[in-house]
Amino acid sequence: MSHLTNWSSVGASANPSGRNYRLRITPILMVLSICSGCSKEEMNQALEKAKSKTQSITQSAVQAVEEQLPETGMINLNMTPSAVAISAVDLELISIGDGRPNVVQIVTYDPSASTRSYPALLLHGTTEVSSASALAGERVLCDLYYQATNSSPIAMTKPGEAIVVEFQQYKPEDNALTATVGAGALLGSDDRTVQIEGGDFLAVIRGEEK
Amino acid sequence: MFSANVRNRTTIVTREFTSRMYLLAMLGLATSSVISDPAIGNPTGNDPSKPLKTHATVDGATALANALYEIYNEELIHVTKMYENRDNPASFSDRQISKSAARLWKARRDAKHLELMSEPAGADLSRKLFLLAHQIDQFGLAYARTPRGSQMMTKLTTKLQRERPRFQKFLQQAATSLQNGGGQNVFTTQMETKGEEKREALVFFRPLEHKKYLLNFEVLLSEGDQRQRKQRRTEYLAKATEKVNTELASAAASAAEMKRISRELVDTGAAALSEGVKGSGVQAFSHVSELWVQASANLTRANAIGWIMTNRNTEQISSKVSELKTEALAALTAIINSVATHTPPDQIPAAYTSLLRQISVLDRRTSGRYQVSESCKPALDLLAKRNSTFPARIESYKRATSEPLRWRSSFASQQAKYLSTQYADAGALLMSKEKVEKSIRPNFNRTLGGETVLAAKNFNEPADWMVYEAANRLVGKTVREGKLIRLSPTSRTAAVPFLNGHYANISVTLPVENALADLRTALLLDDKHQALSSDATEAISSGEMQDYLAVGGTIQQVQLESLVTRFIAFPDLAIALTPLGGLPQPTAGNSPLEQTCWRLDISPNWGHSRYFTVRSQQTPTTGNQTAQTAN
Repeated sequence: MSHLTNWSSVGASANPSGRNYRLRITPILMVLSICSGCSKEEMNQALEKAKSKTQSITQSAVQAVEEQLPETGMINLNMTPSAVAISAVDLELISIGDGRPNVVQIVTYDPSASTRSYPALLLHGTTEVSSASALAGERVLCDLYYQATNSSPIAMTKPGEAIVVEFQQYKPEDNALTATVGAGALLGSDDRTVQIEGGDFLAVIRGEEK
Repeated sequence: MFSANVRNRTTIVTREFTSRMYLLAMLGLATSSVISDPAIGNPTGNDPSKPLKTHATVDGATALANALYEIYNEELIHVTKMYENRDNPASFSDRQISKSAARLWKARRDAKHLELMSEPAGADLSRKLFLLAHQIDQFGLAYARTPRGSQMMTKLTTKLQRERPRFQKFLQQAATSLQNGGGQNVFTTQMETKGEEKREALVFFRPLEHKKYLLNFEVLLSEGDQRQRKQRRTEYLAKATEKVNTELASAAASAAEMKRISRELVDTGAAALSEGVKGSGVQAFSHVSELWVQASANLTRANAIGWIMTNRNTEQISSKVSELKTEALAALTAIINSVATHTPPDQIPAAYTSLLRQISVLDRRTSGRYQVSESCKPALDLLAKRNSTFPARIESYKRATSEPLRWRSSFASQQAKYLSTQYADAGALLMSKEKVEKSIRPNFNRTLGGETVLAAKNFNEPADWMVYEAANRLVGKTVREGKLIRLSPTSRTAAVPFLNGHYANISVTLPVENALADLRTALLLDDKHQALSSDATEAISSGEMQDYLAVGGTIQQVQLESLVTRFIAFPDLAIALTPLGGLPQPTAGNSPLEQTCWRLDISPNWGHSRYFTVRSQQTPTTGNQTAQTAN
């Protein structure tokens, strides 16, 4: 679960244009323009003060924004040839109600949108657990589907194989679940094998259906 | 019950093709013999000497064609042998030359008769017999120039002159008979007997001398032939019209039966499906589908007979095919509505899934995309609503399965694209040109030209040469074909429908079990739980039937058929060759009578089902290459 310890900053860097905020650092430029007649030493002192003040402003602003933002989720996978991190992970537990198992569906895109956002990933498995929050501590065998861009090959679990997802913790404050993803091999649509060494995710529970 | 967390995905679940599969059963226990009976014929690369099959719209055509092919084969041996000794004409047998010349003269006339019956075998035989007759004429003239031949010529000339008065009398009687409109068949028989007799002698004379001995024989024969041709043509057209009308009447009876069944179901919830046997709406759905298949086969045959009748407007059949489709879809919709009215709510889910399955199978066998399912959708939605909890269950099921289906569909499309890179499109390959390296052309016609089309659209040479040369260049090549339809759930053969002059027979041998087991798990299916959405039903139904969107394989054999014979001698179970609601289309601008219909027998290397691809055990994956997928 190492990736989950610094969750917000990973999310921000992985998705600079996403829903996390970034602050523009302008006070330094303001101090520099005010001190145009100072000595070099005075100027350095002023600069250090400004830096310190800026850091303080930045940290408090980030904290304030984070407190207001809802959790969007994040997944990290150690895949070959390179690791993948995708922000915005939703989990849905779908019950059909006719004796079939319930479906756990974890997506990094909006299934109702006409086009997917990329990288796109789906984990799809079944469970007897009837509510998403009760998945904590459960182990679910999932099919994994992954595509880096809309023109790249798709990778998915081979027929008869599955990826193990172990749910760790339910976070009621975020209505989210953390989980680890086990290792496994995916088959690419170009016939190449994609290895997953493991990973983890935080997924936000969406519209639970009974 | 599912065991949710312990998924044994490699378990091969035995699927039920049982009571819900009426439609599939209706397609019968067809095998490849439905499409081609090897005992009946059509030349193949392995056995090019088989005769072109007759459609036998006119009685007697098959017997006549077989007799003529036998004559051709026998005379071919004589001609080939004489050609081997062409530098030594003195070695020829004058009796054999006379006999062959007379036999070929008569056989060529009979071949013309076959052509008049609109039998493509007639044109093939005419082409072949002409080549032999031409050689025999050459041998006759060469023999006449030998010392022994000169002596024979003197005797023959004397004989012909001695016979002249009697021959003149014969011709006078023939002319009178012709003038008086006497028995045409007697006239022809007598003229042919005399013609054969003259041919035996005249084969040794130069063509310019023939007239001197034949007098006005050829003029009289030609007049008689013209008259007889006109009579025969009228007779054969009447026969063809009668057959067309029989087919149209059967199609109309099937359409009326569809209406009766749907009406009875709407009124009472059950309908008589056969004598003394009443069936439910679900059973009636498959019965009506079967009637649609039968009527479509009727119209396909009627249309093909129309091709050989120059005065027949085949547009009339096209509009009947459209009408039939409308009537069938209306009957099927009415049946679903009757099921909604007469089925207890607790039995709605079972009826719904059974109908979904039947609709899916029909959809793939119908022209146009999803025409049956789109037509039946409003009625199916109403049916689902008859059970208050069922529509919500369907919606949940769709949400639970639509994403894996989307991914699997995209994955399968990408894989199919990747797999097909090494496979030429079959239709394009058949039309490509290549040099002929190996041939069975007889010694007297061995000259091979440059590059020729691998599978010509028209019969332009003897069928046996064409099929041998095509097979020689095609067998062993890998090709990809489009849509593949299995003849029945148990058949070992599937067909690529006829398009642009060819169709394909493909053996159902791809190891699909693992892919199917995986699909069933993803779609939450087991013996007690069926697919609840049309997409999921399509996925599992097409997977189990092994109806593929595309297939790639190796050509094992090539068969040459005539287009008109293929679709006149068309068994109901071969309907996979032409989709319901459609008709086979000949190549525009060419006479259908002259058009070929090539059949490729293909051993599949891979198949593209809509939601997975499968490859044969002999077609391995490319191995553990460096992954690019994650980039």
